[in-house]
Amino acid sequence: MRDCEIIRVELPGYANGKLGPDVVAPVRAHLQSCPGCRAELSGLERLDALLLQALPAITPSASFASRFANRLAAEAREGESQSSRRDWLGWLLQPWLIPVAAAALIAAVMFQPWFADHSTSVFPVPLIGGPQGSVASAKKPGSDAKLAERNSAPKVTVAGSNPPSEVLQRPELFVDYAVIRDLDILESGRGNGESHAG
Amino acid sequence: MGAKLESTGRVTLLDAIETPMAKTVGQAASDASWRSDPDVEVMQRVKKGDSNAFRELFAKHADAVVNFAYRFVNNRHRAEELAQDAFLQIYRARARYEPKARFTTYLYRVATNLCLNELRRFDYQGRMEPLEGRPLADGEEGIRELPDEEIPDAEDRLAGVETGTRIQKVLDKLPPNQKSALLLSRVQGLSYQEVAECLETTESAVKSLIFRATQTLREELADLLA
Repeated sequence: MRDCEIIRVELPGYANGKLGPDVVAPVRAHLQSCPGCRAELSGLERLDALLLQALPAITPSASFASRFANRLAAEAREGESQSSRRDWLGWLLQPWLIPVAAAALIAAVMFQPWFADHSTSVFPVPLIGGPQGSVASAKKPGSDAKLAERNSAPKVTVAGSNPPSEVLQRPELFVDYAVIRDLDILESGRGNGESHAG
Repeated sequence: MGAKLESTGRVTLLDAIETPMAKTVGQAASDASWRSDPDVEVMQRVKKGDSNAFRELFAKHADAVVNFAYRFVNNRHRAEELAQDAFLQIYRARARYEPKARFTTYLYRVATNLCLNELRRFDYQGRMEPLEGRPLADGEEGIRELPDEEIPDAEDRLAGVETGTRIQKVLDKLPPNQKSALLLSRVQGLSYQEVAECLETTESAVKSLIFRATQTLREELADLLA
């Protein structure tokens, strides 16, 4: 009986020819002496035949291959775009670029005060002479002439002077304020005979 | 082995079947055969960027994979999508392909995982599609297109369709791993070793799965087998 239990687990493989000769031999020997297992094998063979007969193969639809070709083409396009993105990122991460970027960052930090001092003189005219007028032109009529004078004058810097709260609340006035401040100091410095070369 | 069996009886039978020396045909063949599998060679070409080689593999195996998936989901359109998904997965992973088994083993492993995931995501029980005729919409009952009464073998065809539908329903009742093992072995013709690789289990487990599946089928279809 124990032999039959072992053999019957092997019978599906035996019926399909999926067992190696080492297993086939004892199974065959057992079958010769066991009518119950022979009946079991016969039932399995009928089941196999039924499965193959009653489950016919289907044919994929006519558009199956073309739909797959489209999906594959889309996949290939996606792969190419990912590859180009990877190339771009790879270029960014090149070893030589990292020290260059670091040097640029250090330079930016070191020269920040210089940039801050020169920020108003980079675009002085458009900011002052804007279409809606400016604080400078509103408060200081004739400031264009003074501006020209300022541009030719030595740079004046004032440490510790803070813009009034009105200017802080309106950032668009901040640049104009700096110009006004410079002009005021320039005027007062001339009046007092004091000026600080920047 | 046969001589040993005759001389010592039942102890030898157990030894013969359960000893590690006892290899199935599939295992013995699988160890050596994947190296000579022409599809493995074609897949190596795919890995090197040969898209024609991939088309070759698709043309050769796509129909079989569609049929395999169809037995799981009973829906032709979904089966086709699953088969396409399997090939796309293989295409996406082509750069990492390392041959360790026959190509069909690799292909059916991917397809089986997709089908089992599909079964976990949706309940396909009862969503039958006729074996012949138009596909059914989701949730639509399986209305068969009746064969023409004038055709001589119409009754046989009708009986065949009904039998097929009944067998499919019994298959659908099987636990997914039993169903996978049975279909891979019986319908797709994979060896036990290959089925074990597809299902990521042992050959002994595959034998057990197939044995239990066949027992269920024989009980449920006893009248057809009588």
